[in-house]
Amino acid sequence: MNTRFRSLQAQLVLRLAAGFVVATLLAVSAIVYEGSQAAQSLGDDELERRAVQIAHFVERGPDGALHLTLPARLDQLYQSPARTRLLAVRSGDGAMITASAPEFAAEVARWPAADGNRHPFRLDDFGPTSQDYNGLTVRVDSIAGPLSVTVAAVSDAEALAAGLVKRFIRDLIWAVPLFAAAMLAIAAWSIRLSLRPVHAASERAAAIGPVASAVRLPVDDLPTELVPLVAAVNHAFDRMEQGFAVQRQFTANAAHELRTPLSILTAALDELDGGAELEKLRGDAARMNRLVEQLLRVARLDSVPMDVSAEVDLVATTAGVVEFMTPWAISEVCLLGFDAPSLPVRVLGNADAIADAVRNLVENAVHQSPAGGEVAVTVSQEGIVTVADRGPGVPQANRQRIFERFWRGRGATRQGAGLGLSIVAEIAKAHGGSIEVADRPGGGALFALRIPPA
Amino acid sequence: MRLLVVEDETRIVELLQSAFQRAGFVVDAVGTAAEGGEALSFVTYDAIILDLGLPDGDGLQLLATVRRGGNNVPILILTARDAVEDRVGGLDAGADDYLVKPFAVVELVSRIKALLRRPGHALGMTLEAGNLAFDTIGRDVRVDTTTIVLPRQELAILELLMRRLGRVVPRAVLEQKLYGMDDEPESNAIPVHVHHLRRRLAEAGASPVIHTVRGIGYLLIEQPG
Repeated sequence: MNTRFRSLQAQLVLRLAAGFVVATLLAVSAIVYEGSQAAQSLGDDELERRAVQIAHFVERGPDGALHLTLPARLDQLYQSPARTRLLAVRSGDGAMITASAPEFAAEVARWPAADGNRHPFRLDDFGPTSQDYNGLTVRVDSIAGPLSVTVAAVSDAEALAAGLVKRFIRDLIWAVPLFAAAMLAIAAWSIRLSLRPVHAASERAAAIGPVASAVRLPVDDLPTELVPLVAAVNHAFDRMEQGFAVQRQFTANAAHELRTPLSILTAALDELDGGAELEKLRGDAARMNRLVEQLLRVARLDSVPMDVSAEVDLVATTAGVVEFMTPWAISEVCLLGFDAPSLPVRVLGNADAIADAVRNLVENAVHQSPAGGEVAVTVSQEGIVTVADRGPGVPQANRQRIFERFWRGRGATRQGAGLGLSIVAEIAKAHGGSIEVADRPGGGALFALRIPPA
Repeated sequence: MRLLVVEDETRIVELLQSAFQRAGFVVDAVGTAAEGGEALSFVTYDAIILDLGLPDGDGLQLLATVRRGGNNVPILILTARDAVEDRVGGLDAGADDYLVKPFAVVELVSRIKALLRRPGHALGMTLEAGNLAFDTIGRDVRVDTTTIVLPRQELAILELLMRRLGRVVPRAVLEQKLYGMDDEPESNAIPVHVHHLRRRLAEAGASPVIHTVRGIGYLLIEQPG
C-alpha cells in the first residue's frame, strides 16, 4: 500500500474517485455507442418506410410484367439530377424491374435479392456525383407479389435523425462527469463525517501517558466496526496501567525495605564513640546509602516512564539544588557559585528529575574539585545548565563513555559506583535534551545539560 | 522538652530515644498511628517525629487528624519514600519539615531543634551556634561570655542566618528584611553588611563562619571546613 495515503479517509476518497472515473467513462461510451446505434436504426427505419412506400406503386401490367409508376412528387425526388436519392426495385427472384440510375442498377444487380431481413449498406464516393450513400435492401410483400426494394440516400440528407441523437448526446454528455463529481463530493463529505468519532478517539488516545494512564478511549460514539479494536486497545491500556502500578509499588517497597536497615546502621554508627576504624565504617555506610539511592533512581527511570509535561523554571530549580547542596559542598571544602538570568527560564519537564540531574552533576564536580575550588553553576536563557569544576577534566576518549552505567575511569579515586552521570544522561534523554562534557577554559571539566525550552 | 516518636521500627526508636535523651529531650515512643493519636490526647508534646509507613495506616492520616484538631505542634515527617507526591502531600497536610531515610541522627536532632527555635516557641528566645548566642528578645549577641555590639542591620542578618543555621539564606530574603532599615539603600548593601559582620565575628573569636554562595546567598556553619 502506498505509504503516502495511510489515511483511511484519503484511501476511501481516492478509490471512490478512481471507481467514479471508470464508471463515468463506461457510461459516456455506452451512451455514445447506444446513441449512434439508435441514430443508425432510426435512419434504417426511415429507409424501410420509403422502400415500403415505393413498393405500393409497383403494379403488374397487362403484359404480366411488373412496372413502377411513381407519382410525380416522388418521381422528382428519385430522378433529381443531384441524385440525392436512389432506388432499385427487383422482383422476388432478383430480376431487375427498374432503377433510378444505371450505375445503381448495375451495383444492385450484383447483390442477392432480399430474404426477409434488412440489409443495410454504405456506398462511398459513388456514381457521377461522387456522393456517399446509406442504403437498405428490404423484402416487401406488395400486392404485385414479393419484391426486393433497395433505397439509398445521400448521407447528409438522411443524417437528420442521427443529427438529433448526436446533438442530444453532445448537449447532455457533460452532465455525466458533473454528476459523478457531485457524487464523489457527497461521498467524501459523508466519509469525513463518519470518521469524526475516530478522530475524537485518536485525540483521547494521544492524551494517555504514564501519568494519565487511567484515561480510556470512548466506545459510545464509535462505528460498530471499530468497537472491537477500541475495546482491545482499552484492555491493553488496563494491563499497561497494572504494570505501571506494580512497578511503582515495587520500587516504593524496595526503597522502604532497603532504606530502613540502612537508617538503623547509619544511626547506630553515629551513636558510637570515636576511633579511626569507626570513621571508615561511617564512610562505608555513606557509600552504601549513596549506592542504594542511585540504584533506586535507576530502577525508577527504567520501570516507570517519566512525566515531563510540567512547566519548570530552570533558574529556581537549579538555585534550589545549589542552595541545598552548599552545606555538603562546604564540608567537602568546596564552594558553589551560581549565575543565571534574573527572569525565569521555562522548560517543559519534571522538576524533581531535573533537580536530580543537576544534583548529580554538582556532586560529581565537587568530588573532582581540588580543595578550596569553586564549582560554578550557570543557567542560560536557552535552557542550558552548566556545571564547571577545576578538576583534571575528562579526556577526549572518555567523553561518551562516562555517561554509561557503572563506567569508572581508570585510577578513579572516589568511591562512586559510576551511576551518577548515567542517571543525568537518562534524565536528559527523557526530556528530549542532551548532556555533554567539554574542557572548561582555564582547566577542568564543563558539563552542559540542555533541556528544550517550553 | 517532650517529644513523641511515632515509628514502628524498634531499632530506629531505640536509636532516636538515646540520641534525643542525650540532647535533653524526654521521648515517648509509639508504634502505630492509633497509639499516636491516643498519646496526643493525653499529653501536650513540644514536637512530633512521624513515620509515614505505619502498620495501621498512613502517617499522613494522623497528621491530618492532628491539624484538623487545631493542634499546631511542630511535626517532622520521617519517610523512606521520596517520591515527589509524598513530600508535597506531607507538607500540604501540615508537616513542618521532612527527612528522608536514611538520615543522620545529628541532622534529625538539629532539625527538631530548628523547629523548636521558630517564633512562638520558648527555645526561640536564644539562638545558639557553636560558641555564639543570640538573645532574640534582648537583641544582644555573645561569643562565649563576651557580649559584642553589632549595628541593627548586621543583627538582622545574623538573626536570619542563625535561625537557618547550616542552610542557605537567599540574598532576596535578606534584602527584604533590611528593606527600609538603611537610610540610603545601595545595590551592594548586603555584601557590605555581611563583610563587616564576618570581620566582627572573626575578631570576637566566634566559631561559626559565614559562607558566601555566589549568586544565591549566605549561610552560617558551625565549624569551618
